[in-house]
Amino acid sequence: MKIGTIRKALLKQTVVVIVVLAIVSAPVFYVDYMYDDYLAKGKNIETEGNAIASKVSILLSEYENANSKLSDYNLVKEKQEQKMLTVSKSILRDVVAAIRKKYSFDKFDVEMSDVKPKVGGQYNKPQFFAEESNVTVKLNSMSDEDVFFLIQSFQNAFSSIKFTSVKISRDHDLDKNSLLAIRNSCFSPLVSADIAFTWSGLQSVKKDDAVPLMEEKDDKNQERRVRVRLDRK
Amino acid sequence: MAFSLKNRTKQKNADTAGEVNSPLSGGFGAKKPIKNFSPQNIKKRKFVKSGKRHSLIIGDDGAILIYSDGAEVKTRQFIASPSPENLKEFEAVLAKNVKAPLFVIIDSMDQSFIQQSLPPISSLGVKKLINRRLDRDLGKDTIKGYILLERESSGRRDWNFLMVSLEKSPQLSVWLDFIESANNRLAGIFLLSVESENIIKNLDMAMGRSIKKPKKSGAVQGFSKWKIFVSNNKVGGFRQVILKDGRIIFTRLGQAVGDSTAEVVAGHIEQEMTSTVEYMKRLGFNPQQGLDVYVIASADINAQLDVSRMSADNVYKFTPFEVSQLLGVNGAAQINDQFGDVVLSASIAGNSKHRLVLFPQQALRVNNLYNIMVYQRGLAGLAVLVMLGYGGVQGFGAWQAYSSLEDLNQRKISQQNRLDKINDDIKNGGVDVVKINEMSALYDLVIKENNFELPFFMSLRAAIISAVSIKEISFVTDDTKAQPAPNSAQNNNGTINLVLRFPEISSTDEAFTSVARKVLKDVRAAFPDYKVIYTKLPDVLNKQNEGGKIDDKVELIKIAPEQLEATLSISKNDEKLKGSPDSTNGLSTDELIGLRRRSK
Repeated sequence: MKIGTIRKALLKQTVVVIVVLAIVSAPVFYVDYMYDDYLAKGKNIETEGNAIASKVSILLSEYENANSKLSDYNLVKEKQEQKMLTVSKSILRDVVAAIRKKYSFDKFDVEMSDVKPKVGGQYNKPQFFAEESNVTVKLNSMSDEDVFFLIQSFQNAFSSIKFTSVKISRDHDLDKNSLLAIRNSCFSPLVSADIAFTWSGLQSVKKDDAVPLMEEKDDKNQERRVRVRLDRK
Repeated sequence: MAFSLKNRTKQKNADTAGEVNSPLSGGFGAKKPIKNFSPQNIKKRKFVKSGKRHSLIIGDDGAILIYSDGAEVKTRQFIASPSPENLKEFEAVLAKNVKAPLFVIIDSMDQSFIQQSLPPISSLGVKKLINRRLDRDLGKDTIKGYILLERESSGRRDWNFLMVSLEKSPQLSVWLDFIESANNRLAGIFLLSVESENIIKNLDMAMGRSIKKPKKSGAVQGFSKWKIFVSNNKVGGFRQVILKDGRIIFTRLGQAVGDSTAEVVAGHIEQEMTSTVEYMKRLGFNPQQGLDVYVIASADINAQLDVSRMSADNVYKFTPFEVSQLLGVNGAAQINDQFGDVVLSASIAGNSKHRLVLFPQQALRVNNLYNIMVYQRGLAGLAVLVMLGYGGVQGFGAWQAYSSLEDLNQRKISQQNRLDKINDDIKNGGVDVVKINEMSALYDLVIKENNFELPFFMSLRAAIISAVSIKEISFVTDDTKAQPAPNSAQNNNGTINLVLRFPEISSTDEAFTSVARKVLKDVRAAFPDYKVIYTKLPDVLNKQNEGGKIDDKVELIKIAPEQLEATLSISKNDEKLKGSPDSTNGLSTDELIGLRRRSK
């Protein structure tokens, strides 16, 4: 046999082999692709099904939780209506004005910082968030009991107050001069108080819902820090 | 042509195969029983492999082309000379099946055998060395090969081998050109003389003679060490092959005797064989070592043939037809055929094992490519099988995955329906779950920040006796962080410091410590869950414990009224008060006021 003949035969066979392998491998690769595709589809459906099942579980849990906290929610709503969960300078002013009418204080000085959202993921929910403002109160009083009543008034008016510092000092003893002053003006500054607290409340993310909780517009006072000075008449 | 080998070294291991029907007896010239072939002894064995093939036996007097399919000889064609007209007939036969390989068997005188020795080298390198010797002695273009004989059993243990070559006579060159021009693949060139080893072995096996290898030590009784194979061939003449221990030792070719009668031919064969025995004697033949004679000739010649003078142990006389029956080559010979060419060449071509295969250089390259084709086919087949297997596994997996898709979809739909139903229920129930949960959670968080309980302070005031006045109350939260951790109890989680004054007691340390102890005990009793200590006491109490003159008399220390102050700290957090100031000499405030015994 001539070498050219066998070379041609080898070439022909190589082509045939390639064609055969291509013909055989094409469906094999297709089946392989289909297998991977079905697996991926199955995994996707399974993942989606699991996600829905998880949603169901969470929703049920939330629903049960909501039902169990329905009474708490009503309380919150009530407090919300009474503006006990709203941090606002106007509310503070109203409270301070009410206190001023009730108790005798001298140099009653109240400062309130800007209302800011509280820092921390737990305070920020999709629909609501917590906000806060730092309030400082300085005053002179005749008795430490008045200071305690002041604190009690704040606690009654606002749902969440975290006192960072409270200092009540007896500046003067009850002596002849102080008694005279009391007789003359019904007041003598025997006790001084320096109080600082963080006032927290809730706020809605949606504007419509936020209306009852939102801080009122006060054109008279646009300063960042609000100062309410109540001088003794 | 006749040739002889050099005296071979003694062989300890006589290697004679065959089952001897009669015991060895007598020496050279003694009468020996003649074993004629008996059809009853035929053992059905397969000596011919399957597949279609052409075999071409070439001799000095012509050539025969045989076409076989497995063990069946389909056609046979004889030409006396390689003339172009004759070769066209062969070309036509070969062209009928170009895929059938061509086996060429040479039975001419154009053969050369030379025994050579090589020094004792590693068995791994001996073949390379022999090939190098062949190229050097015979030239690269010569058709050549070698037969490796046994190593010397003593002395240097040299390697013995036969260098075999085909001499390119003009007639053989014509045949080689013809073979090269054919489209059939050359499977190899074989020498009838050399391949006779396998034919005799197969004949012995077919006749039921054992071919077990005898033990190495010495000759085995009952086995003939020497064998003479004689075949009357049309293309070559009388081919005689002499084997010792089953291996070719020399061969002779006698010319055919024209149109002579059977008696004349038989006499000619007897004469040739007698001459052969004389050669054998020179190579160490001893009648006691045993001698078997195999003759393939027509029935007439066999009937006239008398080999009793050769003192052979066994003489087997076959007709070509009988040989074809023994070797299982059907149709190779008719009952009245005279010549053994066809059956021998068909048998050699169909044999799976060959003693020596020769190739021209060109055919070697063709065969290499053919081998590549075979391997390619094998690998392709294997690849197809693997792919089909892989495809099957993947297909099964795909089917299973597809089947599970429906189930998974159903489960997903079921979950989705459940979710929708719950959503509808919640919507219809008018409960804003998210709003309630969020507001409740946030309310819980901010409400926990309340940390100042007025009743606690009232109780604290009430716990302190009226003789002591409170100069200052201060509360500082312990929480240094801006925001408390969720769910942490913050109520009164701070430190309360009371600055106490003692205006109604006498200004002595004893009176002071007595009242201070009373106050501390009362507060601790009122708030057992709190840590209560004095964090500041009048300085004079510390000085009392400083070193100085020791006096037996205990003196009361006066304390200035403005110094009669103490700071009482109350906290739930022990850590906050751990670092509270003690006296400069290492005493705690409890020890200073005498509430606890001094450790020093």
